Amino acid sequence: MGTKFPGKLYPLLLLLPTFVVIGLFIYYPMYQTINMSLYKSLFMGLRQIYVGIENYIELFTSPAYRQSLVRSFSFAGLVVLFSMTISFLMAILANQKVRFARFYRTALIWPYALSPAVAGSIFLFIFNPSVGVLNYLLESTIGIRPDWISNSTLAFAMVVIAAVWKQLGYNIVFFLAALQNVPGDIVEAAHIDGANAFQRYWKVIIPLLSPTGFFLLTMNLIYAFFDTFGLVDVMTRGGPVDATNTLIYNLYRDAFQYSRTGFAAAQSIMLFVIVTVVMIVQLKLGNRTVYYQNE
Amino acid sequence: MKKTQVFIALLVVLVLSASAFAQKIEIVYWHAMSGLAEQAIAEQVRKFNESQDRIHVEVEYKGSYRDTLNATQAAVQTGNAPHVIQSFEISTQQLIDMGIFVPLQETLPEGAVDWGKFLPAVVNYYTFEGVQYSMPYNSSNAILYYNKDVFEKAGLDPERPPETLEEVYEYSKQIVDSGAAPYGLVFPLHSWFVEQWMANIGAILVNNDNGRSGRPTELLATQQEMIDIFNWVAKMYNEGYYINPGVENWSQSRQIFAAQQVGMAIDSTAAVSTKLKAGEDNDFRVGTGFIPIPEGYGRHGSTIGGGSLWVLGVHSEEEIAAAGEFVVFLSGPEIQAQWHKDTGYYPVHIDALELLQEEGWFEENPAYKTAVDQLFESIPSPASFGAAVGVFPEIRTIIVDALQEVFQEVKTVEQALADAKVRGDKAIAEYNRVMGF
Repeated sequence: MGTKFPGKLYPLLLLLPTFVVIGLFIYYPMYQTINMSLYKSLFMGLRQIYVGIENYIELFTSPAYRQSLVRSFSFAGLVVLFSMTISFLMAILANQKVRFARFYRTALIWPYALSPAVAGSIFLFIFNPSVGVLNYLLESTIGIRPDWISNSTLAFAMVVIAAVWKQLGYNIVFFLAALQNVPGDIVEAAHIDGANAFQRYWKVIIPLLSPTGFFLLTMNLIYAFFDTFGLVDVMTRGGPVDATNTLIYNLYRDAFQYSRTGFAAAQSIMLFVIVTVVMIVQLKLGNRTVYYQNE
Repeated sequence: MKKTQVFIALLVVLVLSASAFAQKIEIVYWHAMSGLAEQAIAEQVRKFNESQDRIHVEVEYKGSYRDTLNATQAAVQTGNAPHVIQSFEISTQQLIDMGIFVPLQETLPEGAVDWGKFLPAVVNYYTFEGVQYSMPYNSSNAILYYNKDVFEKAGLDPERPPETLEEVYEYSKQIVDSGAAPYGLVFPLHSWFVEQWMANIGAILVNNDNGRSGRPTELLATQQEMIDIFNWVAKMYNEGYYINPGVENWSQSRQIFAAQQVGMAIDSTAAVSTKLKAGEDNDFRVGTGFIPIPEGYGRHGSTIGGGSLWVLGVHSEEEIAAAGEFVVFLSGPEIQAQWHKDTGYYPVHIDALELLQEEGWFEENPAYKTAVDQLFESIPSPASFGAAVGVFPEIRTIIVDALQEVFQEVKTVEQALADAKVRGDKAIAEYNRVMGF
């Protein structure tokens, strides 16, 4: 069947643009990052001294970095868990045949269209201990006025809630699309066989949605690890006392606030290794549990 | 024959005028002011471009001070650096160490600027070993703002703002107890205020005379002055008189004051227009006073915050001189007087003050006067010159972290400050190591 390319050079020539793009925009920066991580530097590299693997030793022996690691994993875990569960449930609701369904569906996607900075500011106003809506409601109903800004646990919860909310729209779009693609005859068959609503979801629909779920799991993990620093920056700046200082925010702060590019480069390599390991584990597990219809 | 001559003559004129145009020196200016201040800057640049025909300035807003500085460092490495940038006060030591800027003084002809005509506190901040490194441009410090209506409701004299931190505590107690407002005081949780208090009571932040007589090696976080300030903030927070709007969160802090949730706010003088407008919009009267300081130390006057203008040295001599000329123009009396009215930053030029006085500006706008009066009280000393330390941005995080540890009572004030010193000293040591000191 296959077409034969004339000679060996021709296919290589066709691949060349891809190689150039990948080399220039992925491998070269990667090489630069590794190189940079071997220096202690100031002012975006205008001043630097070679220190070998000292930056890495510092990272491995730093209790603050270890804490940041634990914090990032719990942050990512919570964000992925809640954003996926809530958006799945909301997608089911949005998939119902009700009046104004199209309006609801559009409205559910809106949060995704906001920039992290805007979302962060809005949430700060909601959570503001003295003039915020949330504390007004809490005080008038159960008589408490928690300090979301100064308390580490509450501030962490606040950022998790904002990060979850911000990701809902994205997840709902995919879940909704997947739900609408579930073949009606299969669900109907299950119905006739006597499966109740819960069983139909648990035994039939969710397995059919597992490729989408798996894709979203990957995207949400990447989001939680890499894309949340805007929210953190606007809402808490990593505080109070590092309570929301995730790996990515710590990296950003070292690189762009403290101009310690070398140390930040080492952190970026570490983050790369960590996320790669997580992805490999996930793919291995995914292959066993995800059901692809056309296999 | 005649036609050809006319044509040639025209051609010559054209070429000459074109080359005259091309000879204009192009200067690029990057700044970090958004909103109203950005418009004011555009206007200043327009005035400069119209004031002469040799130099043309291109102005660009580059985001925050940090963004502007990062963009500049990157631009220097790729070879398309701007000529003038605006940078914040705490980057001063870094900018000197970077080696890409020329001291402003060297860009100007001998005697081009009479430094005696500038506010001493402002000039001193940017002078090292007698060399003027950058041009003071937008300078500010911290003052007290208070809500006169809340004061009245609480039974306090609306014309007598508190002068000491102890008084702020007493006033807050009265405001909260009387139900005039839910909290007494707000200010952004920002190390800048700690720095302001330290300077006002004559204490230095880092050793070697605040880094002015030699490279600093220590963060002086464990001295009594610092402990007193921390104890006071902790007491204010724990007893529910101070409301924490978040780390470096100016907008939330201003919102809380505007919503009359507090009787008092400590904020930058650059916020004076915002504060007055909040009072107008929400129907309350705003008073101002000097920043209250800890009792028993005496007032030594403020150090400044804000920014200054730096000339990059990676250009031709001609361009550097033009950049210097532009910078001097921006600090001139008329420009600075208007700048003050637009934003609330000090007029850094003394003649600008006179212009404003003649106009009767300060009589009509007493709130603006407080700031200027406060700066004139500054006694020249390493404390009021301000700290010069390369890792200042990191020190700010360290100080604020320590305050938050105290708020949550995970550490005592002494413990938090001792740990802050260890962190600060380590950061300073690493900076000095990379710089080769």
